[in-house]
Amino acid sequence: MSEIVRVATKAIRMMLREQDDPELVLISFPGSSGARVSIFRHSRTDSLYAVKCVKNSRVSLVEEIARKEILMPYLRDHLPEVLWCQIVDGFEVMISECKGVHTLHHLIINSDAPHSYLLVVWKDVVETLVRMWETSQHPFQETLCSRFFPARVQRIQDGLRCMTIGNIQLSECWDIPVIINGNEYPSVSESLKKVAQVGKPAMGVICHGDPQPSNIVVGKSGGWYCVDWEWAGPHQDWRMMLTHLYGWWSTRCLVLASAPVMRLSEKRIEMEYEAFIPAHLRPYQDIAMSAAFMMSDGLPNEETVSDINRFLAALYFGELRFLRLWGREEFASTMFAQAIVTANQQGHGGNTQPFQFPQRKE
Amino acid sequence: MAETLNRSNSRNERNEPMYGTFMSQENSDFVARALTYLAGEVGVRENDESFWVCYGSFVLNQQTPESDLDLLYIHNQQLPVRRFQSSFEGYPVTVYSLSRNNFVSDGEQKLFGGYFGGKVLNPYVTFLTSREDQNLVTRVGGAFIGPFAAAMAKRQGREIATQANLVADSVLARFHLCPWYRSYFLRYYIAPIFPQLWERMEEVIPLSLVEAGVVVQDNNGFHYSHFLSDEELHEETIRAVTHFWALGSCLHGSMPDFPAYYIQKAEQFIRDDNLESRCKEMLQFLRKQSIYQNGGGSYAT
Repeated sequence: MSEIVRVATKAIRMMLREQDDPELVLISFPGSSGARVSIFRHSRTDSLYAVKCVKNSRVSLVEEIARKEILMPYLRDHLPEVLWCQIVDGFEVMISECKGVHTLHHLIINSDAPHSYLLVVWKDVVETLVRMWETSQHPFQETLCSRFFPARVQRIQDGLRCMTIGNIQLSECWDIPVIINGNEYPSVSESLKKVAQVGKPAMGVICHGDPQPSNIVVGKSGGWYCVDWEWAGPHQDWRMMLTHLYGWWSTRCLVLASAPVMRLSEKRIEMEYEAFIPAHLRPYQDIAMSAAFMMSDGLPNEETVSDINRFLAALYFGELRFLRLWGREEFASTMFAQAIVTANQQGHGGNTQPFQFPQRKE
Repeated sequence: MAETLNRSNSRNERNEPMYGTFMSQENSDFVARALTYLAGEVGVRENDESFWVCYGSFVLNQQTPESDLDLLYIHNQQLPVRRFQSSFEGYPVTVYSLSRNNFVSDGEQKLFGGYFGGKVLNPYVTFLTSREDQNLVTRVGGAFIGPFAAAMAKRQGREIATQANLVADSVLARFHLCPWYRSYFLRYYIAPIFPQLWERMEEVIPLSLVEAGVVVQDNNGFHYSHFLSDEELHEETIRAVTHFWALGSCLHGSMPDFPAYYIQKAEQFIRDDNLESRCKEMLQFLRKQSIYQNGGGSYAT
């Protein structure tokens, strides 16, 4: 039994103060903070509990609980109750009510529920978030943003410098151009500079800091619940939040059509890849994109599109650091290529689907 | 000859926060910048005579990327005590907002068990303060801890005190109220700058106690002006402790388990870093500093 499951089990026993063993139903993949969530079912009452365990996280669970309160006026029916929070054997542990076992992510990826139903849930999630953005708009103050973008870009840059993709150490080819499927793009360093040039939105919004399907639990009796509030805050940039709604599908649902190639020649990185998002998942991404249209009262302008692309590129670059956690290392070069392409995409050029991930070649 | 309290740092001549020299210019600028943005968050009104106190890791430049910026916002509005989370340039920020009256009452009547009075017994830097406000902050810390510090001296049968005795009494009094505070004071004790910090505390804490009127100074040294009886000490202790934890739970999302969380977190810090022996050493150091030595205390382990 892993240390974290042992701690989670100890915590749930401490909270329930009963001898009967709660049944461990599921343990989540680790999040980027290293947190794991174990789901337990009470043997007599059949109630479900989510036990989140984390060590040395950037945001403590007590702060996360405080941040949940920021969302409460807007997501009252979509936030589970926190029942218990303690330190157990060096781990911070939070136990909350659990309205359902699976996340929207799990259900969609495994097609464990009809997509017609899951699309309705996802649409409601997106529309609810957009309503929250619209009703909470206020002058944007970047410095108060819980996901302060300059610091995020710096962390991404530091992470990339230590990263090896295939056999290529990125720090050694930091300043040379990248050839992707025959097209030349600027170097990693130039691309990151472009990412950092993101403009400021007119208004800031209240939002969960990482709105994506892994953080939505679908209730046993219908409904959905928003979890993982560590980055929630009152000064979010809705365009960054949109990229979590939209970019997630590209980072987690991408399918490789063939093995990607990445090689280093004397003065450039050369990459070839063919990847796509399966057709049955594209409607989810389209729903996510609709948020940009709702927020812009139509097609977003060129500047907004360019900025969303910069945020998307940051997301793709950033997620490279966590692919190993999710067992998706095979996708590293593809994700890297997509980050470079997206960082250098300016405006939509008349395309009505400006952020669309490259589709499979027919 | 008894020590004379260094008044160059006292109220009429004080132009900068007493622990301000520890804080790097970079951190000071960072906090000043943060306050201009956070003003809107906490509802600062023009000319409302509010001010800020920064405490915690930023004061001694001990912050890590995971550290919170810890702030008190003291104002003149009729608003309940609040705690809220914000962020500034990627750092989490914790702000406690409370009225001047509540702040003073926390010192004099232990309204919140020294939840705030205790914070200004740790190294802190004030921002946007008048001299009167600086004196107020100094006084609140002394008023809160004074009766308990006197009780520590009484336990030793000591009637006269050096500056070092007063600091040791105050820290031991805080351990009396909250044994887990040891873990927090230990962070100072193990810091390389502790000798300088202790020296500064020998100036600041006696000044706090004198300003609060719980200690008087004469040619022989410092004297506590009042000692609680055993029964009074018991009651005052229970009063302060219950008020402290009640407020702590309320301000942390009404978490009934907040005391357990705080205690376990404190204990964990010592366990994780194998600091048990340093903790014992710290207690020995404080006990040694609490013993009266004619000629005054000085930093010595």
